[in-house]
Amino acid sequence: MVQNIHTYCCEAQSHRPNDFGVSRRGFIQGLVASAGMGLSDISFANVGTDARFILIVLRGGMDGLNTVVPFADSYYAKSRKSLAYDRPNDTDRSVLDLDGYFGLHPALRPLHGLYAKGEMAFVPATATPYRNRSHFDGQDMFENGSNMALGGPEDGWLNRTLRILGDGRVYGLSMGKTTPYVMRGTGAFLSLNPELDLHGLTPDVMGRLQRLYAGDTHPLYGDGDLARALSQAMDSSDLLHVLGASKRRRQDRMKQLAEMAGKTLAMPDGPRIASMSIGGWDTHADQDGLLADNISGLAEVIRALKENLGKAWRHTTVACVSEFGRTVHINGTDGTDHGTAGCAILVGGALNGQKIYGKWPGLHPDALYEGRDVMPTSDVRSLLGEILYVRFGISIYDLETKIFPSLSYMPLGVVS
Amino acid sequence: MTTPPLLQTWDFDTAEIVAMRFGYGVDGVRPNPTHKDDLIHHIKNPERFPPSVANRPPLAERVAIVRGYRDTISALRMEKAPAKQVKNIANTQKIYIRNTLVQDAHARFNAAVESRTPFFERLVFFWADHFSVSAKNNAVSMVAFDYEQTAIRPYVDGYFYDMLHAVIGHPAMLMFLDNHVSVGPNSRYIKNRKKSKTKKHYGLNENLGRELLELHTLGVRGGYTQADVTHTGQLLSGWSVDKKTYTFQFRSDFAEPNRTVIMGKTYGGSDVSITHMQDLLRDLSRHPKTAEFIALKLARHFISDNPPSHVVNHLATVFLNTDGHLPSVYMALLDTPEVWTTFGQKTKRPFDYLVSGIKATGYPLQELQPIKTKTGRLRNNPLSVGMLKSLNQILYHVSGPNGWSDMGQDWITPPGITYRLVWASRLAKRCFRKQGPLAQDRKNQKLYQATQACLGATPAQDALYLVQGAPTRQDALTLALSNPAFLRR
Repeated sequence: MVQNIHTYCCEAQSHRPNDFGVSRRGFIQGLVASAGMGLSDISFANVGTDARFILIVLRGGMDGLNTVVPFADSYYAKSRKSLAYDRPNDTDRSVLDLDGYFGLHPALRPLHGLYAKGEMAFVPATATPYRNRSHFDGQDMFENGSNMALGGPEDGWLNRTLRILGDGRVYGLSMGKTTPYVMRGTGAFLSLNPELDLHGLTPDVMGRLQRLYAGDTHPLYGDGDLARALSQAMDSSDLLHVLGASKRRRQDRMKQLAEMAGKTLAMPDGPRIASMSIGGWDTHADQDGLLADNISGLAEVIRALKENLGKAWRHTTVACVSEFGRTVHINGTDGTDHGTAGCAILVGGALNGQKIYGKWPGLHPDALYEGRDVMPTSDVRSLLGEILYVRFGISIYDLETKIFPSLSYMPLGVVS
Repeated sequence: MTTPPLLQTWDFDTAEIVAMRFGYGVDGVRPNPTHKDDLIHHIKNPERFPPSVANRPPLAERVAIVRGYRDTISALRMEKAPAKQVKNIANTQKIYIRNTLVQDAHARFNAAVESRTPFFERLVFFWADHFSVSAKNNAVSMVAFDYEQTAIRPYVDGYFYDMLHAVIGHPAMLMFLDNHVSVGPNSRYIKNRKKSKTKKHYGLNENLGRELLELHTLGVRGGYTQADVTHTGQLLSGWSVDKKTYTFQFRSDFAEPNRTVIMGKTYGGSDVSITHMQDLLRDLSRHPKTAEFIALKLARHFISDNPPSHVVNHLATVFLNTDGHLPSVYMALLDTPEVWTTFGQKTKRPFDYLVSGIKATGYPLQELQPIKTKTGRLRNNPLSVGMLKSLNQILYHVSGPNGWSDMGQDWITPPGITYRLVWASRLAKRCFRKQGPLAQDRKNQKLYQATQACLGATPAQDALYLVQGAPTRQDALTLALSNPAFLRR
């Protein structure tokens, strides 16, 4: 059974071209070289843009109202009652002032300084076209980028963006164990997570697998999907080892993903667009502690991103978006229920920060959506589209027809 | 040096297709179906409850145990016992419910491995997926296993209406979509609420109404309107649950007493009873759009991601003509040439893939049990239910009421491939361990058998060469399990 298949093995491990027009091994070596880790002196052509974009999907419906608090709105305290935060002063329920009308949840203290530096901004009354209140449909509609949940595009808008940016380079980076809908599609991306590690399989086995999958290209049988997925899986696993990631405690996992994302996006010729998911925002009961914990976690993630992006931070825009916000009034269990408009959080060096964007509709009962939620005054896809247009040069036509079907593009001026 | 392309030959013989496409793969230990007649037999004489699921405790027993915990907690509270003590019992109750669900998941997985009528077993999974329910809280966790046992398995070889009726009336579905607390706008409950001081604010919940039309029967392009959804929700009010026994209970005080129009027909009335909803279910079961939708899903499951429309139309016609007699539809499917000529065009979903790997290697079920931990909590077995979690097909936890995707593109992702390869390597390693199923295998007989179970009796020469040429037997098995041929059905 065990034969001498020396020649076969050598072929299997050859530097075969992959989808990206460069050898698979070469690609990772190239990234590593340009990151100054000195494993090879292969040089690569310029990626073409210095811009970086990170989408953080906050799953569960983040309560924007208690995160970026309109403390000066006369209906805020009345609506939020025992869950309301205080105006800026020195109580421990005080918000941190932003512009005299809005203030930050105290758990965002570590990032408060970014606002004054122009590296943080907020859009407090924004939403997708979705107007029902189901997580599944709300997230689906957000991630497929259209105005339909079921029946919308099968791929995610971030993946469509990768395909338009295309030109054979790996542009995408999906952080986490599973591929989120927003990143799903035929556009190329790496997947990073300490568990996505193929180094337990020998190079010989991996080589043979490459050969087996390379022969599996018939259009009826997957159309080469296995070969593509394997190629990206191997690149991802190799990158994981370049970064030297080890398994960490559960609490530190998000922070670790942020560190890896930052380091990877910092590489001069590496991926430029990343996605990350943070769950747990569905605060129906006993919201106070939960929301504070989640916000602290988010602050840590953003800080880890900034530290690890290093010099690339000034080219970076981070958008934190949730599928919807929550009800203006609290419910009977010290929490809030699913709402409509929420708050988008923007951070980064490439931002016209220190500003609250969009029209604030107010919390007067007549101004609420269906008498219960914050009224949306902008389409969050417009905000995301603006980042793609200004920073990555994607045309408005592509934004409105391919990336965000049904979008009417209306820029806010958040980036330049 | 140019490398010759590998030949893509789906050269499986009928016996192999029978086992791989309609069942859960070729089993290295148990007898396999080899002919279409065997599949027909699986439907006529199914092993309705394979031992793993037959041995699970029934709902009544679980309810009694949980009630015991609840009574203890009440008693302690009455005696003003220290909060810590109460919390302990509450925690123990929580662990009991979670552990039970873990055991249920493992039983469900193992049932697919051991079933003697795998075509029937595969259809059980199909229908449980079509009528998806997710254990989103403790209450649904209590009844999730019973759901498949009592609302799916008994009806897979019967009429669609009977399964639909059982599903809509099962506490798992009613609590998953919050219909058990849905009240009609003109119900007695609403009229009385104005007088009462209760804080609870029950209102009409349309969820089940919507999913009934959109996901269970007519389908998303079924021609219903938002008004139809709302009215269906109203007609469903009153279909509730007795929280003491976790069984169906009709709450006439929740029911909407007004007549309502759905899809052009009038239903309901002041004589509130379950018969009104049953009338709608019957009409939905006979609707051409339902026939089309079910036909599409079956064709998609067994033929290809985008099945030929003439096959879908044919199955829909059979469905309509037989008044939803499911075995007739299954037979019609088996009689189409397409289902035999398109082998390999479907991608195995994680559950399929893992179960078929376990069967191909003859890995023993005793090794596929939950893992006990020091705290008393049960952990998922990393070779079965645990890996399903990583592969994003978590048993009893679908991400949405529309079930798991049946499209290959949603499963062949870089992480999806990574985890399958890691799993194949792990399983291969365990097979060759001291007590493993391939341990004492001097002449490589068992390895050869396992390879054949994966690649078929006449695999493409290049593929076989790559597998057999691997430096170790463990690597050879890993490659057999990761082969494209084994990832498809």
